[in-house]
Amino acid sequence: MKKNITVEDVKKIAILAHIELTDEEAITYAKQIGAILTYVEKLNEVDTKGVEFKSQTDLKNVFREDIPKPSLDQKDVLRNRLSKSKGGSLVISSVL
Amino acid sequence: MESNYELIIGLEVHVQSKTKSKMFCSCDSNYFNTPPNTHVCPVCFGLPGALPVPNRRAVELCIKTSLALNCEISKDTKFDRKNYFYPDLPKGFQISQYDKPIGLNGNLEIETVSGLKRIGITRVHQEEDTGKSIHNNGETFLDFNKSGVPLIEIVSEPDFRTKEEVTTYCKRLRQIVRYLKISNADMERGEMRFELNMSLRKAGETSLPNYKVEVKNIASISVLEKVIDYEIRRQSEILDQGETPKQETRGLIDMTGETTSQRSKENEADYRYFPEPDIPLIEISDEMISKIRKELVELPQQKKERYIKDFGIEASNAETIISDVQTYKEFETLVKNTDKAVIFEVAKWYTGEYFALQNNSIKNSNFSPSSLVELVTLVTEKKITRANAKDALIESYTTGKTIEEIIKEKGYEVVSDMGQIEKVVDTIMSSNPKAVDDARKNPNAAMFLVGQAMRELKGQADAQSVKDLIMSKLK
Ligand SMILES: [Zn+2]
Repeated sequence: MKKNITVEDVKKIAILAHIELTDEEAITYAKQIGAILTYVEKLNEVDTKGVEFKSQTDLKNVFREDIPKPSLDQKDVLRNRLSKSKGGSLVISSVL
Repeated sequence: MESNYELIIGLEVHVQSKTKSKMFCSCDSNYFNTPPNTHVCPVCFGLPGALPVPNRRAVELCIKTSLALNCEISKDTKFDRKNYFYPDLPKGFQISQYDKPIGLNGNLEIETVSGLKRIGITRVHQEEDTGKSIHNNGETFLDFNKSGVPLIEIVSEPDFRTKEEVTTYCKRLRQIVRYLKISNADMERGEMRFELNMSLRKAGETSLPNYKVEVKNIASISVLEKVIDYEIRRQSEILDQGETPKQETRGLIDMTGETTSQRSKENEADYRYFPEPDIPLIEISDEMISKIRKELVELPQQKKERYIKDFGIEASNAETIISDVQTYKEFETLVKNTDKAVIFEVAKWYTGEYFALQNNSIKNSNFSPSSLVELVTLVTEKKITRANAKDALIESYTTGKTIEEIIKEKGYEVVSDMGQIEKVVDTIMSSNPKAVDDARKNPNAAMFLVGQAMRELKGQADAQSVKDLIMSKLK
């Protein structure tokens, strides 16, 4: 059960993630991601027949009541994110 | 539209829920007119270690929407991550619902020219809004106060065949969420938005077309209508040439409805949906459903049908009254203790004269809307003529005087003394022998005599009784 990831797969993932890759990088990552997938595939060796779908936890229905609480200070928000801000907005180069 | 094609439309409608806090964190969800980035926290940004916890009220409102749209409720439901990268989504994913939406298989009945039509609702699910980007001068300004505000998505089946059906559906949907206090659905504030899925097929064909054009981010019903018109023209031109329009997502150029091809957007598989690992499963109990069911109220369509059936209100008047919560509430208060037989007439005056006054005149603070009921009752009892009642209403609205005062001042009491009316009628008939002759040959000509008599009575008699009297004397 060896599943290889192709260079095309990597390029597709890069497009979805808005990351530019050179051809060499795509080849490198195809190898590396392929190796990770092969490693994780070990999980498929476990017999899961008859095992019911289960969430990550036994908890159910964890809710919050609809009560607003103070948010972060605007100064901290801006300081924490990008170097550039104007009038409280974060500014990036145009995505239009 | 071109008669040789039939329109196939499905709609996705987003409404922002009216909660106090956001969907998965306690930030204040009221972002309107707030300084940018003042309602954000680590959960909004998806910072490491942040834990999203669903807002109970928001989930309840989504269930409420589903119930109002006759959906089955998924007893076992969950949230999923929809992964994509865009600057207004700093987490890199939107928390939404994939394979277990809260509501499934519902419907909404709308009025069409050929009667009631049932529009299928595929699903109703809960998700969160993204941030706001403003593009200016080569820069994009990001404000995340809106990110994480609860959003309910209502997906219809491709059941619409005309633009009018789409409009009616959107308006009904907006009324429903307002009636149920789920959302203000104020389109100018972006609280209700639309996505259009549209294709055309040759008239007479029954299978769905092999292509579908999607237009996202439509901010109002009027722009939605323009987009449909534009796409009808564009797609039919392509089909006329024997070609098939490209399956694609198109973007709005501006508010004229014109669309343009967008760089290819993600396919569903590209979103790499997977269960949100930070939020435990949700089990919706029967108790929860029946508690929310109790919050439902009479919906616009039911209300309209009841108005017509129980009070004989004309359909167009009923539609005007039910179109808005404040309006139907005022009307219902107004006619609460009114004789049933008068209600349909009140509805006519309320949506006619009274609305016109509200739009065109300044109301005196002493005016009470109950004056309207008083006047309509007097008209029905033939104690004041229709024309004088109209004047009295205007007078009362602008001066605040009571109807009683106005009638007294202006001498609007109707002459109901038949003896006096008969005397006037006799004088008119004897001084107009030619008109009497004409009227004997042609009953329509009697209106001249009625007019003369009414003038003599200064309009203060019931025209119908005057006419009846003259007709009986002509025999
Ligand atoms: Zn937050």
